[in-house]
Amino acid sequence: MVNPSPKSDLPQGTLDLLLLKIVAVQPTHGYAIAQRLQQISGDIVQVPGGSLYPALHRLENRGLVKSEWKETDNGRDAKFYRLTQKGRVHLNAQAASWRRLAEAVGLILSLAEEGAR
Amino acid sequence: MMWWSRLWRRNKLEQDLGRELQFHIDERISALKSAGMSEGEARRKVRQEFGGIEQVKEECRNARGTLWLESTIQDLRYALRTLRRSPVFTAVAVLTLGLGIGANTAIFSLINAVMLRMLPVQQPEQLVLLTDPSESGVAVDTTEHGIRSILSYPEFAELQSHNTVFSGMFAAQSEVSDSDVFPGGSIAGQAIKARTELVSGNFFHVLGIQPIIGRVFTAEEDKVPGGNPVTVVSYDYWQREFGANSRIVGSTIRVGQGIFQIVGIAPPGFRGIVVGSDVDFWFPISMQEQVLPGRDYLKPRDTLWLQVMARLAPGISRKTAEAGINTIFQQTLRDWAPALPTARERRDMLNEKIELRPGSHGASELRGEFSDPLILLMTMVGVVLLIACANIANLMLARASGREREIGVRLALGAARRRLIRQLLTESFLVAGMGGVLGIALSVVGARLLLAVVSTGVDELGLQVPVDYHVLIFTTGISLLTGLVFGLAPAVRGTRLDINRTLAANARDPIAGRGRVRTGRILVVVQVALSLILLMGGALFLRSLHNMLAQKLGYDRDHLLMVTVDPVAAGYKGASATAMYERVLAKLRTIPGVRDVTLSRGGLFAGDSGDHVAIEGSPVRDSEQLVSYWTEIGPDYFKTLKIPLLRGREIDSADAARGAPACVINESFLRRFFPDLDAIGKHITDEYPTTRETFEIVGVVADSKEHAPDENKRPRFYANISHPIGTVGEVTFILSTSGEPASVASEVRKLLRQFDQNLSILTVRTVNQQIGRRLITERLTADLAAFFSGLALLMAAIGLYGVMSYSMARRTNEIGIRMALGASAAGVMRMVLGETLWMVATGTAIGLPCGVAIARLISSKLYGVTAADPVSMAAAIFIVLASALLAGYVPAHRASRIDPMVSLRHE
Repeated sequence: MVNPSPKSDLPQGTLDLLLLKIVAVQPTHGYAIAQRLQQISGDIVQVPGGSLYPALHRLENRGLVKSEWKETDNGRDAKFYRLTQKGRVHLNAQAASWRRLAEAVGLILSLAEEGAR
Repeated sequence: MMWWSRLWRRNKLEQDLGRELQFHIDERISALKSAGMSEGEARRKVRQEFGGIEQVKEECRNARGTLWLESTIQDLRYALRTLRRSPVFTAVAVLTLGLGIGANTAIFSLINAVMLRMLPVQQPEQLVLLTDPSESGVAVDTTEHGIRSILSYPEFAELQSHNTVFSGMFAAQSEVSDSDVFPGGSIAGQAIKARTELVSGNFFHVLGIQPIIGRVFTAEEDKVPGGNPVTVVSYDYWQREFGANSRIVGSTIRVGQGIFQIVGIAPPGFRGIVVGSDVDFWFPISMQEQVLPGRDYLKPRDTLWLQVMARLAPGISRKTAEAGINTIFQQTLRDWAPALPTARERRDMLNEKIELRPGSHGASELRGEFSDPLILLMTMVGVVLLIACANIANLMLARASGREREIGVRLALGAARRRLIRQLLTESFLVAGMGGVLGIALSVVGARLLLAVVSTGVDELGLQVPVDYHVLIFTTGISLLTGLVFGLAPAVRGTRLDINRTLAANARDPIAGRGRVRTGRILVVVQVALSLILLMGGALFLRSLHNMLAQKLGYDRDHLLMVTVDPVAAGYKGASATAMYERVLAKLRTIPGVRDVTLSRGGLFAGDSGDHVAIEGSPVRDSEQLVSYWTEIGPDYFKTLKIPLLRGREIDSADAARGAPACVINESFLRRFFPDLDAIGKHITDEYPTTRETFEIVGVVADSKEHAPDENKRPRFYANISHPIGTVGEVTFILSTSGEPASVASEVRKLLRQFDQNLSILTVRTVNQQIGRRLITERLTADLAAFFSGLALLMAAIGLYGVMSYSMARRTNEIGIRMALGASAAGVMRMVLGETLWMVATGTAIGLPCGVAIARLISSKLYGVTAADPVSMAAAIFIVLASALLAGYVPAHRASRIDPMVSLRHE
């Protein structure tokens, strides 16, 4: 059996948050989601297909995103994911809590640095 | 998308998944190529990035959340395969369970139909039945269950007009009539039999019943007697007799002496409020005179014929409503009581009280009559199912030994034990499910058969026994439960294996199966005990029924035919009725094979009547003691029935012709009221609230049992029917014959039709048929108890056979060694049969005391036998023993034929 958790260094649960945020902007297909994450993060966040698609399917199963087949700009059929109402609520809550956590972690780290000095 | 539709569309999902991933890969490759990579390099890089595509797919499937279901399907497939590999086991298990579950479902569907189903009306839980628990007059057999559940029309009218506690209140004729209906309104047409019911105008509105076509009655339609010739027809009748033709609304039918316009059709499923008496036509109560001609049910305060129901207003409890309605009832009684002649009657009337009972299930006489036997039968079939479960558990255990290797290998290969248990349980549930399906099929047939048994002789029972969701839930429930009961232990046991030993062991290792054989034996002992208990019950009921049937009644019951007619509807009253009796009797006397003829009011084994009496010249003073049953009879009654005349004379045709106030008393009457045994010439006055009739005693006859086999020494006087007590409705001609009484039935019908077309014949039955009809619950209980205990015994015998066969197969070696050491075939046979007997003896020792204890609980239902009836016990033990020996003989015989050489070479 393989380890099902993402290979990136993302903390647990963060991938879901990022995916939701990307599809919140506009309905997007899986490949474009990966591309966009990579671009926006300046190549820091790289999500391999082996993590991306199970995560998307899980989100869909939980009713946070919905999918439909549509044509892309270059005329191929792709599966586009879009945020549901439930997904938006979830995203807002998760984003807020992540921000709080990040701030808290940052605070603690800066304190620790001062103490070390 | 719900998970099941996802499963349904699994193929589509699989394709989509493939396409989605392929799209990603293609995009990535073209992106890498446009960045300058060669096709081959790009592909390799993508494969590296992406990982194994099948693995990704599997994770996506996992994420989809249908995995548990998919693995269940896998388990089911596996179970199906395994079961298909052992068809005999599967067939036996499914058949056994099917019988067990079928019996349970059949009895339950009857219980459901009679006791559980709510009326298909709006908010049935708000409905209450108005019953009056006090009885005016002396016990009347027609309300055998103690509670007077019906009211008179004036009572209803008073209660309804002063009603402040209910949101609505209606009345319906409690005993549905069998009427001749002439479609089209002409007399010329062909009559169709139909069940008709008179109801108050607001009947449908209070119940919340909307017609599917036309309209129902309005509350105003029961105000003017004879003023509203309208009728509503039931959906079933409309479908059956009118071919679902909607133009029937507006057409007319003739019933009794009225021509009625059909104004509406009731919705499907609604068949009235009396369970067991489905109604075809409803009429406004004000049309009583037209529908039931010749009678007046609307004016007398003591003609009890209405089932009254009411709907509780929201927020009002049954208790509050009961208090409220009784205030109104008391007021009515205080108005009425002064009109009564004696203080005792006035006091009795003022003591009357109305009791409110839950009405959501409607009214039913069936319920009172059948609920006890049905619950008893339900218990019995429950035990049958338990025995079936034990059997299958035994089979499973035996089978598990054959699968030890398979399970051992799978455990060794790393299968989780829980997964294996789940798989074995899936198999059990599959077997249980198949048994359940078979059971439902059997129960549909079974319930119909049961209903046919109940209906034999009885006027066709208007009862629907549907397989509704209650029944389906019940059956699913017991199927799952049985699956768990017989599957869990073998599954847990079967997977608790020492892998090394199992894989290394010889298939015939005598030690390995020992625990299993012991479990099997315990199960068999329990089965023997349970079937012994059932057999004892069955034997008790059969003997009790036999006692009742063999009861000496005091008359020649084998040669009597009874013909009940309705003279009132044909216009015979008073003197014209007396003249009609005389002419009909003369005609019937001419039929070849008829010895004597007479008549009585209700016939034998119908409802009994009794009243308070005043007796001239009797020393008895206590008014509570002064009660007697009575029967109204025509001339030659005792001669026809062959009841010995002890003193004086019987009522003769001269008495009949002049309507003489003469009566004959029975021996019990004589002994109770005339200790000096001098009664001839004395007078009896029957005290009914509205009538007083005085009769002169002209003779004394021996006691006889008129209406019930367990009727005990009831004082009775036989009054001249031509000098009736109250009004005579139906009368019954009784013919004694030299041969089989049923053989003259058609001749009787013919003669009566010739005599008067309008004189409708209600029933023609022999006395024995009538008795069979009266004893229907006893017969049903006895027959079914015998049947189910037989079924239980059969299953126990199969179980015994299975365990012994299995244990013999396990012990082939041991027996081979015994024989090699000199044991004879007969010795081996004795040993094996001895083991069988040991199990049976243990089972009997446990079952017998339990059986006696349980029989005590049902002793009130027994007649002429005690709970510890030695005959029943001996019969049950004998049957168990005989079938056990039969079941044990085959394996024992097989064991004794073992060739030691062959069996030892197996090593």
